[in-house]
Amino acid sequence: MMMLKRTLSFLMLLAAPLGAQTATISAGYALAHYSEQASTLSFDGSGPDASVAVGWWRLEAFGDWQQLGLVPHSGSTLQSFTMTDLTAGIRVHVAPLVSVEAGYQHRGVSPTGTAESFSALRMTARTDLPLAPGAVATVRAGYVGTLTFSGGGTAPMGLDLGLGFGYGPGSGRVQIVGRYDFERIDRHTVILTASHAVPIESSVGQLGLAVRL
Amino acid sequence: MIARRFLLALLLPVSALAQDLTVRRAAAAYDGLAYDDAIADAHRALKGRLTAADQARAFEILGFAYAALDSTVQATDAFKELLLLNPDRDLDPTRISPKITSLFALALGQVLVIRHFHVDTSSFIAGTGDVALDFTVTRTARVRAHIEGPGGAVTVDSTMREGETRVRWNGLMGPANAAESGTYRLVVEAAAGRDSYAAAYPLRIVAGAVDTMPLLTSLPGYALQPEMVIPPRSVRPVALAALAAGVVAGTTLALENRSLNAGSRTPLFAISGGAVLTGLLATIKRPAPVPSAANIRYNTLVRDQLARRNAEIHTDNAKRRSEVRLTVMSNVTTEAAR
Repeated sequence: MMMLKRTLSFLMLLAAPLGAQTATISAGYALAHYSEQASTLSFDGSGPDASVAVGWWRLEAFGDWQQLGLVPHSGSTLQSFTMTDLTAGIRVHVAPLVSVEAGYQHRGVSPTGTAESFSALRMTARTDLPLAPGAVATVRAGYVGTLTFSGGGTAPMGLDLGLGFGYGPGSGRVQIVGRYDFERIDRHTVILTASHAVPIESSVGQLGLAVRL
Repeated sequence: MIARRFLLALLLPVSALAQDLTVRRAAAAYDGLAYDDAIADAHRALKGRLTAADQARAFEILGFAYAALDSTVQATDAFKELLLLNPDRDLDPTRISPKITSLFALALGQVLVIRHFHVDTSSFIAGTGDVALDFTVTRTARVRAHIEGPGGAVTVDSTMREGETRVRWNGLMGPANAAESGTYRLVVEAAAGRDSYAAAYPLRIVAGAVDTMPLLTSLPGYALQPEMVIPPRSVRPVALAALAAGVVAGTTLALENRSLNAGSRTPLFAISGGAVLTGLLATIKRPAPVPSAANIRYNTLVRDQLARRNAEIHTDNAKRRSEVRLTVMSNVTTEAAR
């Protein structure tokens, strides 16, 4: 109940932006591919995707939610699962076209154990290229520092790469948006004394509608 | 007694009329070349009561008649009396005999009078500008000119003068004390030996506020330029979008882990294609206005110049509000006294 009240309060805040405040809500549908450990562990799927961002002057708080139903490639005996990604962070516009993001990502998997769930800190640099009024292209690149994996292990190296676009009539208050995210995490586990590479890789393409309030 | 006064009052105008007729008779005698009769009639008229104008006319007839009879001394004396009565009198040398005009000039050099006073109506700021007061002194004399009026009296000039003279007055009745509106008199006193002469000329002075300048809203010839301009249409958006899509797609393909199943690349190519399409639409779309650095810099300079000019006007107006504009007008009649 308390959670619902907080959510409603947050939505009311979004619905009435202040003078220098901007708020953007977007929702769409995503297609995804997920691979883990070896070429045999490969999944494809899709699911809803939503995001919200509230900006004030140079600062912007954002949150992304994604729930993907992933099924193994045909012929595989692996179990299907649902992967839920939740990311929240702060974006600072350091230059007219450049911003940096710091965020926290949590990936949950259901049923547990069917794939790797983890939590990570992300540092990303992003550039928004205004192409015309209501048209923008976005390029992102960042580091994913994974904190914990459900199956143990560490990942000293994690990369995140993204491409996005938005196009809408007029000033672009309502836009068709598209986003592609590629994530590679070079995970290592130690079994006995030997280190084993168990990489994780995912790519998600999302298409939806964004409204700037 | 009352009857006697009444009779006197009736007789005086009759007497003046009779003297006027005598002056006319003298003039007629002079015109008829009967110079002796003209002299006799003029003397007879001068013994009675005459207006100043008739007196001057009588002396003029005397001067002309004596000159015609070559009585130089008497002619000169008559012209001197004429000049004292009417200092501005001049003889036209193109119409009158040189014998007469030369004697008139001789008299002019012997008598001390101030004549031909002239002032052009002028408007000036008291203490800054001035008005020129012109007159002629017939002989070398110490001339003292002062102005009297509601605001007090002030000496304008006190020097030795002769001939055409110009004195200037700055409109002040004292240090930083501008003249008030009203009727003033320029009193000119001339003294040379035992001779002295004074004349007063009325002046009309109107004091008013000095006009101030309005602040400028724009500089003539320097119109502000639009600070946002629409750039010409270009392929930059599609090129930029294609570059971004190419970089991300290429980097993604390069970073894919070879040991894993890459899976379908449809999302990557779909979103990359979408980005390029967005760039293409943006290229076709009307470009957004962009700030024009040159125009912004130009406008800044114009606004700075405008602010500087208005600051100068503001300072100038503050000074002008403490000043008084005087308009000095000439008189219509001359008062003269011996």
